Amino acid sequence: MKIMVKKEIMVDGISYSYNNKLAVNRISFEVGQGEALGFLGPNGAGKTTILKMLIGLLVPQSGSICVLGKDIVKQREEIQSGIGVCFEEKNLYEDMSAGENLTFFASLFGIKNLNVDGLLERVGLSAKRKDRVANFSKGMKQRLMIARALVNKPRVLFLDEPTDGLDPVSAETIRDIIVEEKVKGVTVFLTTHDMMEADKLSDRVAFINEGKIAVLDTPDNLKHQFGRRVLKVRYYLDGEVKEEELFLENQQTAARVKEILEKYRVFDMHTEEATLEDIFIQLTGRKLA
Amino acid sequence: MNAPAFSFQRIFVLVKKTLSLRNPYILLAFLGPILYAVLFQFVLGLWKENPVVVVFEKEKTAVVRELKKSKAVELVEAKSAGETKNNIEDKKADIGVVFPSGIDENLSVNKKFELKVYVNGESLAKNRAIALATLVDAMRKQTTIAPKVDFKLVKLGEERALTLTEMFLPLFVILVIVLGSYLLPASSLVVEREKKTLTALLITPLSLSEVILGFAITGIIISLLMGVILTVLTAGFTQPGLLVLVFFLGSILGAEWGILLGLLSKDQTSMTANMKALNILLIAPALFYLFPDWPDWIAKLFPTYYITNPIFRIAIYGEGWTEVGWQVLMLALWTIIFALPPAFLVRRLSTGKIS
Repeated sequence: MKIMVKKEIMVDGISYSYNNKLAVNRISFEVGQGEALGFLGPNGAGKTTILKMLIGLLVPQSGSICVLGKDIVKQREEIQSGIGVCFEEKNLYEDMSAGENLTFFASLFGIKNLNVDGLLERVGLSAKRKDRVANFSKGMKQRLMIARALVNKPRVLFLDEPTDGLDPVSAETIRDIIVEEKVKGVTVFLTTHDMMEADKLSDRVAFINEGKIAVLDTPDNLKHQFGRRVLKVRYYLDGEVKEEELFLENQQTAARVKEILEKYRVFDMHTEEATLEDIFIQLTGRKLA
Repeated sequence: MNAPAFSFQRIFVLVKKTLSLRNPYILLAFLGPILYAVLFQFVLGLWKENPVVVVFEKEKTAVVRELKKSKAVELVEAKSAGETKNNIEDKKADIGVVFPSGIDENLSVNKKFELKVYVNGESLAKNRAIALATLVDAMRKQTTIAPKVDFKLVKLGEERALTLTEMFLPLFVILVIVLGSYLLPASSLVVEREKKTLTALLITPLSLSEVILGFAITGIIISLLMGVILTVLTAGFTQPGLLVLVFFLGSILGAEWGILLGLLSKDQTSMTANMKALNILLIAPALFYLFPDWPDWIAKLFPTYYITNPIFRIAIYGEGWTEVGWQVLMLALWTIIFALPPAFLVRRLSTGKIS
């Protein structure tokens, strides 16, 4: 029996140009309920333009976008009450406290009894409720941005480079929240140029290059399809450590491994998979960062 | 949860936030006009005491005895009818009354009689109103029913000879409009865009039209409030309904320009530069009160003339709808005309690039 997964985001042939320069070129994809889709690409690839169209800040010049089953152009306000967005740029009210920021945005959604403490607790800012945001570090501001994106209990979360340039603790807190939300069934759309993050958080990843999707698949499938699986062996030879790379698909590899183990003292041995960045470079000829 | 396409509740939330005293522009809009007016009056020593009433009684009357007790007016007793008129002509009093013989008797039997009241052409409408009301009150105390008095007002002195306070009133009115309904929506829009918080607002169910309406309403509220306070401080508050209507329409016009300025300015620096160019258009009509020899028809070309002039005529001369009605209608027309450019821009931005 085939399980039908509800599509929370449906994008069909959208394009967008800035001053006659094509930034997004006829892109189509779908994201199912509870799925996390990572959009990977270097700066200027068109990730943020796509995100802005998905959340209703830009109107596509061609094609259509349906979020939560509704047309983003015709039913923008209705869609926005069911989505949460966290931008790369910190756009909080700095003269307000953390608690005031959350309460204000909640009231715009018509939410009167927001559990501010609970939300701040989740992002590790419960002790900072009354502190002015202007005094927050970059990591604290980003965690508050995540909390703000969650005030309306969204069904779809849009995250634009959510951990870019953050300290490890803040980045990990944000990743944990993304995973928690996914478990709850929230759909996540994530743009990043951090391939480790995309690999860790995304069910599928899309490589964006020059406004087009170069490839879209699960990280495992991409690695399997485009990567070269290698066994790296280091062993002692004449008092020195020698390194050898053996392709796992090669028929002679097993015999060579047996030979090394019998003849030499092994320093270490491990398999090595291609990273998403390797695959991106292979497919586009460009680096991610 | 589905959000309605337009919601006054969301606009109210934004208005409440924008009205925060942490916003320096709010403080400027609140305190600026008051400080200017108070400082101006203080420096020139033009604080008005109670209205001055000069009286001459051909025979002693209970009405004057009652007026002496009143704390609302300052009473000066003249030695003759001529001295009474001189006091008015010399601007030493706001109104002057020559009481004929038999006043007390007329009041006691409720007989109708005529009373000549000399009015200084330059006195404030507020002062005249207070003085006349006190006079009627003093008469009412001499009779059990409403006194039957036929007041004959005689204006003395040039009406157009204005005090400095009166001459500066139009400038203060413009200041209220500029700092409240014009600068506040413009700065709110520019600051929100500069700090990228506008984008944060626009990914809530709040639409660009609602954001702009919220900022405009905030400016209009402050402008209206400060306009009323300023007029009370400088010239009194006669015909409140008509004055509030003019201030309301003027504030709408100011807010429309403010929104236009905010939408067309990239940041606070460019907003300041644009303002310098636009301010002369706002202030120009007010200058005609300071330089009365300048031809009046030039002032009439500027839309703000239809804010300052009705307020000036109502507050200073106590004129009403009959005299200033056409100017109020012209102001309403300007508000309709200037609503079009911001509406067009908002519509264009809402269907294209927003931030």
